[in-house]
Amino acid sequence: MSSTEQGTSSAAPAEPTTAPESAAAPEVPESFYYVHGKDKVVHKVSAGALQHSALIHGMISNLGYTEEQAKANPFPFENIDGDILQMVVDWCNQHKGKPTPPEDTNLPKQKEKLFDLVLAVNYLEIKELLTYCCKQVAMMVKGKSPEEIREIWMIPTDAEDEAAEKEAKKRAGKEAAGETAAAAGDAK
Amino acid sequence: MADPINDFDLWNELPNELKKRCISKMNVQTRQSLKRTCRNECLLVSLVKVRFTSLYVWFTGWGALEGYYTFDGNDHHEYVFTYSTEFSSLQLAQQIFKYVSESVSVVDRLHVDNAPATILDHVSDNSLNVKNLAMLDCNENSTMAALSKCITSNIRVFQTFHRHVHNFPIDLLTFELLESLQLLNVSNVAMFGFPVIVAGRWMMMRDTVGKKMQFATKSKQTMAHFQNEYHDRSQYHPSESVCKIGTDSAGISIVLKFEQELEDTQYFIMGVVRYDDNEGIEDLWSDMDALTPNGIW
Repeated sequence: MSSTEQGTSSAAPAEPTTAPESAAAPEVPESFYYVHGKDKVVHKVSAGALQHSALIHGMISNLGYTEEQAKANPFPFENIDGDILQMVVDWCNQHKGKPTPPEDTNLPKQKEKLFDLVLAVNYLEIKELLTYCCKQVAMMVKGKSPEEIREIWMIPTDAEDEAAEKEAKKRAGKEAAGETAAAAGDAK
Repeated sequence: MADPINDFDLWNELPNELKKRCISKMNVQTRQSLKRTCRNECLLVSLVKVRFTSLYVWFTGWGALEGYYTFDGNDHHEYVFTYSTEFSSLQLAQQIFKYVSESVSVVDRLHVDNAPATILDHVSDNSLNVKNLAMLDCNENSTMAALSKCITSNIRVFQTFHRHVHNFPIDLLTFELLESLQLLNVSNVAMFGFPVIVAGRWMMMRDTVGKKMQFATKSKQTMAHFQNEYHDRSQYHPSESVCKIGTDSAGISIVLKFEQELEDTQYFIMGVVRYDDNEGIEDLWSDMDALTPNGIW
């Protein structure tokens, strides 16, 4: 991935914009920003690609970072796994300045990854990618029986749900009792 | 031992808003399956209604029908209904409409082919919230009565008649249709591409019904025929534009478009709308233009 680099590597020279808005328009050097996920690997993304994310776009507009400030302070997304953030960055780069196609076939096939991607994309507010992801999630269970859906998506039955709820209550009760006992011990 | 709390972390990891977004991309069968997985999903699925962009139902014979639909956000045809059982076509259609109405908010276009007249009663109550109804070869008198109900429920109706000339001359078909149309209490009629003789029959119909109807056509020949034949010329408007008809009376309007497909095959399309302004009739015309010879959008 050309636009992704480790946090320790040196900054690449700014690339000129490729979008030919008008033949007479002067070429403006493209600005870059930096993001990192849970794994702290820094990804370099162009401002054009980041336009897809309403969240990051809002952050950039509000902070008014210069390129040096942006490099020194990568946007941290601690709640997103590194490989998922990489996928998001790749998608944003691929679709930079292009109209989004009606379907995207490059989404992950592994269900765990897809669900993580849905959560990440929702957090980053990337509307088009979220639409593709939700469609892909729906396609995973197309034509399946309720039992198959339950198995694929790990949906508990009502009985399992109730058992889990009971268990959670029990645990909460135990923890509360433990805390009370500890507090009483401290007081002594 | 497996942890009963953290074992379920895929679908249940998603907040309800995201789940609803995913459900909105599901077809009707998948929704029905998801509904039956557990109580929470059942509740969630019932909150997300789908907009059908089209629903096609073919009555392929006694006790058999098939169909497909397209829905919002998905251009693929979803084939769902292929029945051939001991039930009658009507019973099957009732089942389908009931099944669909549980998941659907709006049906933009319902297309029924070779349908029994009684099926329209289920459309006219509009539990499906149909916006446009297209019908092929449903020209019984009882169908017309049901159509009348559809139109009063503000459903726009399109009917396509497609016949071999030798078997069923178009003027005879038109005359039969006209008899049925008495039930519709029509205010305005616009005819495009019709042979003069057919148009003349419509004029006769007007006099038989004794109702003040306005006629419009862009055929100079037809207009000349009208004006020579009838004394009250103010009712006949030469027109290049469909919206010219009915300028002074809102109500039920009919637009008829006649085409000759091949040498021995003719068809015409009828569009009926109840409207209060001329924009309605202009839209009706452009939608009729989009109808193919087989009556399918």
